[in-house]
Amino acid sequence: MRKFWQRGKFHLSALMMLVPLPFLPDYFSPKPIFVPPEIRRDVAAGPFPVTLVTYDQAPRRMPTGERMKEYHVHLRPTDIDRVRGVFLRVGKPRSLRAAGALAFGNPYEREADVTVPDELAGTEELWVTVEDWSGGVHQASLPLADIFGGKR
Amino acid sequence: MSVGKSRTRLWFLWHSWLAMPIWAFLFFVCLTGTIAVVSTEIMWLVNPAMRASGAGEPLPPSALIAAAEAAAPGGRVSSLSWGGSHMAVGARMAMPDGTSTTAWVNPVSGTVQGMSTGNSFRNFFRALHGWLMTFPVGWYAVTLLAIPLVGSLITGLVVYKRFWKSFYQPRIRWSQAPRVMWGDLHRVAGTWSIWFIAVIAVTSLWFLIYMMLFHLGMGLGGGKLPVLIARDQIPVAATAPKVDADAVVRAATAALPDMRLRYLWLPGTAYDPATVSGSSGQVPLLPDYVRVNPFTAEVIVIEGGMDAASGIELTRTIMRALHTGDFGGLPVKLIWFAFGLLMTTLVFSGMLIWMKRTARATVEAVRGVRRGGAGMAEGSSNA
Repeated sequence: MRKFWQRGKFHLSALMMLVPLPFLPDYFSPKPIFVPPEIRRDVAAGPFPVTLVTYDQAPRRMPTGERMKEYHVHLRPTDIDRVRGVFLRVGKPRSLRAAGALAFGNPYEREADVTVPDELAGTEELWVTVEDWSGGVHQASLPLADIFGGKR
Repeated sequence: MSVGKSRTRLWFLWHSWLAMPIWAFLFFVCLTGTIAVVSTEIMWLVNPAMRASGAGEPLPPSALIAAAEAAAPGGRVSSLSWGGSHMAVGARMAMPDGTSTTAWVNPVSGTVQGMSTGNSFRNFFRALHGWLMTFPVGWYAVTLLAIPLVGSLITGLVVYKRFWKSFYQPRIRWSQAPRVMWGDLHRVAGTWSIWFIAVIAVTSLWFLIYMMLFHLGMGLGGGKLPVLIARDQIPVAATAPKVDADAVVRAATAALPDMRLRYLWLPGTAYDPATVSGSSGQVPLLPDYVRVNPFTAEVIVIEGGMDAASGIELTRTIMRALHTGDFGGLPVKLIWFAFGLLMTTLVFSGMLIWMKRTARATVEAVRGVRRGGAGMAEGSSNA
């Protein structure tokens, strides 16, 4: 036993190869396997029904210091080509130029990284701004607490 | 014994001990990195759908996009990538279930030869090699290896007297005892890959420092502001206007006629430009990015190359290219692959030599110090 340890201790770093193992199943599945529970909320911005989805998780702290919460935005497939952009913002936007985080990526499931203030009073609202291709702007809002997640 | 000789002995012990406790991990990282260099080529060998003959007139991008979208119900092409005349064009598509799929389209016939979903073999080996599939812990575990790597290189050069002789008089005694053979191999391989170890060590160190500064909130920045299309420049229509991919690529190649086309990224949102990317020959390490207005097919700006990039961005691109060997096509990749194998062998042979020799030498050296440094043990030279 002692001899085994004497010779074997210098090969212990081979154990580092075990590190990736627990992450393999998740990596090879097309959709994440171990996901936190989701929160879904439906709102209607004018003629466009929008489903917002987020993980039941506290916002992430970015290296830049701000808190960021990720939302997924689902439109009806028939609306995808009618919608120019979907913006999310905590608090009512003062203008279209400051409508908030623009959702990007897969048009069937766009994602938006929304900046969240450090201090929350609990009365904040999440505003959804939908701009369509004919220039029309449609807005909706819901209480941020309804779709925030994590322990508060 | 002279002071000089005992100092050499100390350098030698440093050289032995730097990598030994972590040799198996270092071996793993070197081996996966070596495979990662040629991962695209391995995919090409394994997957017939990725191959193309290259003979004939290539189809315009719009035909490739149409073919890919016809093969996947609901799929929407977000980017095209050209890998050279021997490769099918990869059309990356956003799928209705939120995932992404790559269709391999023959550039001449327009046939969809196959589909790949999810993560590719290439991305898998990148993740395995670069961050052990867990970020950022794995990233730090891997990049910290740069420190013993630099140490091994420097101490190796000090203890191996007249190492340059290995360049013109390489000597490997294959028929001798294994310890002698491995020792010769270690020295010759080490000498010949000095430049490569230095390149890998310095670039890895850069990856370590870069990420550390980022996580400490002292990011180096250097990223340019994204190019966006002003709202009043976007056409008003009932539904989204279709991007004319052919006109976009035509405009980009007209702006940079000698560019070897690598990527076309269609706009990610209605306010984003389309991006055409490729290398333009003069500066092979630095790809050019041509941002094109998708509605008018006018070139907005050409980014990349020598003059457009900031110092930090230039460093980042060069470091990455040097680390991966992905800047001069297949020949450079094969050189990187060969020296990667050599470096992997260095780790392994170093371990073998250590097991056969240095363990005893260390015991003797420690005994010598205990005796008051009077008699450093003789009998295990580093030749």
